[in-house]
Amino acid sequence: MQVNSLGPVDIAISGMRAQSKNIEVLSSNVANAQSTDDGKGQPYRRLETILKADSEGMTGVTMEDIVGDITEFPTIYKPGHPDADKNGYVKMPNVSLPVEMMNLNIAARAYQANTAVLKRYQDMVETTLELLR
Amino acid sequence: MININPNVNNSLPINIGTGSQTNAKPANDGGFADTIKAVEKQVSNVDDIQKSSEVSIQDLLSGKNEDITTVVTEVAKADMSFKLLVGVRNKLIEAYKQTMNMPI
Amino acid sequence: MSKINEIFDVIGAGIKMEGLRQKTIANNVANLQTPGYRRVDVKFQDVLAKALESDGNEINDIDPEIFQPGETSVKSNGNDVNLEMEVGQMVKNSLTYKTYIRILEKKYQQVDMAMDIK
Repeated sequence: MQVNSLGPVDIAISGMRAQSKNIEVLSSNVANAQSTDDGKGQPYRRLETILKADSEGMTGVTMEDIVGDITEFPTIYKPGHPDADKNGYVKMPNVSLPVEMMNLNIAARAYQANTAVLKRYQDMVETTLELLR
Repeated sequence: MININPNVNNSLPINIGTGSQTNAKPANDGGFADTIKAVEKQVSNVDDIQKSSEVSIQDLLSGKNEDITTVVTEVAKADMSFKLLVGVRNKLIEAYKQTMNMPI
Repeated sequence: MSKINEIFDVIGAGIKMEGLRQKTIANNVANLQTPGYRRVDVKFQDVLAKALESDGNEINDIDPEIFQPGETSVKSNGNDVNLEMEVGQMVKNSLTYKTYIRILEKKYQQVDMAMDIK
C-alpha cells in the first residue's frame, strides 16, 4: 500500500473546511431566525449541510450539498405585519435558536477535533525526524 | 512500512568481527592485512546502504514516495552503519599508530 | 561538477523550492480578501523527477514552476483562496522542509565524521 505521510494533513484540513462551511450555514440560520420574507413571499427556510466522504476508504470529507429544511413554518398572530395573511397570522422561519446553538457547539467541537488531529500529527512527524538528530 | 525487526545483524555489516579474530590469533596467516580486507568489504557494504538511502531521498523529493517515515528510517539506518565503519576505521588507525610507535 | 545526482544538490534544490512555496502561501494568505485573486502554487516534484530521469542535467537548470491550480471553488468576489487550505499547505510545507533540513544536516555530519581522522 502506498503510504503518504502528508495524507492525514489533507484529511484534517478537509474536515476543518467542511466544518467552517457548516458554521457559515449555521450563522445564516441564526441571522435569519426572524426573517419573514426571503424575497419570494416565503419566510426564510432553515438550511442544512450534507457532508459526504470523498470516496471509499481513507479520504477527506466534502460538503455535498446545502439543502433546505422542509419542516413546516410556525405561525404567530401578528395582524398589521406586512407579511401577515388575511387572518392576521405571519409565517415565521422554521429556525429554532436553541437547536442552532447546539449545532454550533457540535460544529465548533468538530473543527477543534480536526485541528487537534492536525497538531498531533505534526508533532508525530517531528518525532520521527528526531531520529536524524 | 517500518521494519521493526530488532535483529539488526542482517542489515549491519559487522563481518569485521571475523577479521579482528584472525588478528588476535598470531598463528593464522594474514593478520593486519586480513583485517584491512574485511574493512574494505564493510566499506562497500556501507556504500551500498548509503546509495539505497540516497535513492529513497530522491524518491521523496521527486514525489515517487511520500512516506517520510521510511525515508527517515533508511537514512538513520545508513547513518548507523556509517558510524560503525568510522568507529572501526578510527580504531584501526589507532592500532596501527600504536604498533608503529612500539619501541623495539 | 554539480551533477543532478549529487545528493547534496538535490536536497538543496528541494529546500530552495520549499522556501519558494512558503512565499507563495504567504502571498495567497495576504490576498485572502483581494477580489479576483486566484491562488498560486509551485510545481517542483514533476520537474525534478523528469530531470532525475534524464541523467546528466545540471541542478541549476531545475526551475520550480509557479502556476495557478484553479481547483478550489471561487467565491462571489472571484477569489478562490481558502484559509484552512493554506494553513494545511503550510503545515505540509514546514514538515517537508524540516525533513529535508534534517537529512542534509545528517549528510554533512557524515562528511564531517569521515574527515575527522584523529
